[in-house]
Amino acid sequence: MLVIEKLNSGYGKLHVLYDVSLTAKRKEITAVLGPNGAGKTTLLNSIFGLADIYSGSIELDDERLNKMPPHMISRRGVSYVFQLMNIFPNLTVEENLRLVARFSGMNHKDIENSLKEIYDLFPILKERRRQVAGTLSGGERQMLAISIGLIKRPRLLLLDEPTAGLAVRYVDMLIEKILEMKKTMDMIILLVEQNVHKALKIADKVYVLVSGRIIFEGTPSELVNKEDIAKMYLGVG
Amino acid sequence: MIETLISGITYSSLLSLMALGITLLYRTTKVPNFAHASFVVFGIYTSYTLALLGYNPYLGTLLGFIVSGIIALILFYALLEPLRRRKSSIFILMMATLTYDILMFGIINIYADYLQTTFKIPARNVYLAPQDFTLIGLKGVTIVSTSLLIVLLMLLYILLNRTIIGAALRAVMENPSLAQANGINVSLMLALSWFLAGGLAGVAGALLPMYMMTDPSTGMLLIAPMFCASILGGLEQIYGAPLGGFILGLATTVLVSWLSGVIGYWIMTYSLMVPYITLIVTLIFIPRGVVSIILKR
Ligand SMILES: Nc1ncnc2c1ncn2[C@@H]1O[C@H](COP(=O)(O)OP(=O)(O)OP(=O)(O)O)[C@@H](O)[C@H]1O
Ligand SMILES: [Mg+2]
Repeated sequence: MLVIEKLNSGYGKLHVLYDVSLTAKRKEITAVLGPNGAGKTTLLNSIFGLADIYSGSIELDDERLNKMPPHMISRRGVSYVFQLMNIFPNLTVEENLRLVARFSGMNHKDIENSLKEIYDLFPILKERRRQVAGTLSGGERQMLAISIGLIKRPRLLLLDEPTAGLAVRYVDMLIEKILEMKKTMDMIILLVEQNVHKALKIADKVYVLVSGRIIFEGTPSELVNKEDIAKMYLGVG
Repeated sequence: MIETLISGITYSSLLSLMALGITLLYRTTKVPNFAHASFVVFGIYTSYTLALLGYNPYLGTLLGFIVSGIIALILFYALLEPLRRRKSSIFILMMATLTYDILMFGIINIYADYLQTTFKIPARNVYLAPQDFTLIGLKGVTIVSTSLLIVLLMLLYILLNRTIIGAALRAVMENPSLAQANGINVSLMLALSWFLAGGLAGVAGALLPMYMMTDPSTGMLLIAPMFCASILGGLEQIYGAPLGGFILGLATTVLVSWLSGVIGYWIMTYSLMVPYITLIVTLIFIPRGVVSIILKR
């Protein structure tokens, strides 16, 4: 379980998040929604040690992550799929996956199994495994980015707007895949999405972040019923 | 003519070793490293000191690698890493390397003074060619510099492509944030690249006094050709450096010597301009270097 309590964080003097508390459970998708600039990415950055934490705590399965450098947090089983620049563009698809797997401390057999699991989930990546990653289409690239996050079988997967800027068919497909990942893999998924409708379809729990503060916490159906919030901030309802 | 060619190949090999480090550092830390000048000079004084103490100056290649590697590590940990953590701009980092270079220039001069008073020799003019050996008509420095370049290039290739540390280094060059996000200690990998780059410059420096008259400011004179070779080859590919090193090295030696026969001996005086002219032409016509033509990208 990921437990964040009264988190205040930002970048240097720029205070972005105010008293953010959030809980995300294993085998669930927890979605964080909110307008541009609300601080969604900053929330993920804070969890991953990429932002400055002023106060509050972040705990993963009762272990404190605050103050750990990113590479240590990564070794604790956290994967962060960035919104942009989330692949190694000059390596092939499979080199991308193998490279990351090697640094997770997995043994040879685990790497092969994990690789097979990923190719089962994204068959297109298997077809393109010898292709240089920088030449993939937007959707394929995003699948690779998520796979890079999955290869080490994380306990916590942080996804920052995985469907942003993709063609509609890819959006639907990726959303389906995220749901499939939740069912077949034992991990906590924290999903930041701008595609509110799609996110509400697969999320178990939703947080709405506005100007650095959590203004709603509940299930997707509860959110849809809160017409004021849904309309004003998310353009739903 | 053949003698000029052999001399040109020697110079090109040494230049390649220096440019290799410039490119490596540019790929990992993204900073044009002006302190490469002093990394080379520390190599020069390492083999010179060994020669003064009665050892074979070629031992300086090994010791010079370590000495200059450490000089580079100090720069990284004392100046660059704190600045990088504060997210300073590349320009600030570049100025830091220049500052460090000036500081090291001072230290080298103090050391030269020390040698001068201790051994009663003109330690500012370092020339070891008379002590060089010859083998099948070739100068020792030619044999050693070309074969060391080949061996070190192969070792670098193996390190980068066949080891896990090399894979981490490549990941850092490709996408440092993603590398860090996947458990790679980026700072440690950067430190390694500084040690390697400093070491390569140290090797080249250690061999230089066997090739030409050197002094504490030799590094500063060579910094232009180093950068030029590195940019000419292409900053996006490490192996562009030896390519640029040889094109520039041969242009400065063989081409100029041929031109002096055709146009007149006075042209030799202007051989120092070759790197600058090459640099300008490269930046205008092939800004991504010769490798970009070869790789057709
Ligand atoms: N690395 C950074 N350094 C300094 N300020 C930053 C950094 N990243 C984001 N900010 C600032 O923090 C605030 C919140 O940005 P953040 O990226 O967290 O928003 P977001 O909710 O992810 O927005 P979007 O939907 O556009 O991705 C913004 O004012 C932004 O300018
Ligand atoms: Mg964002």
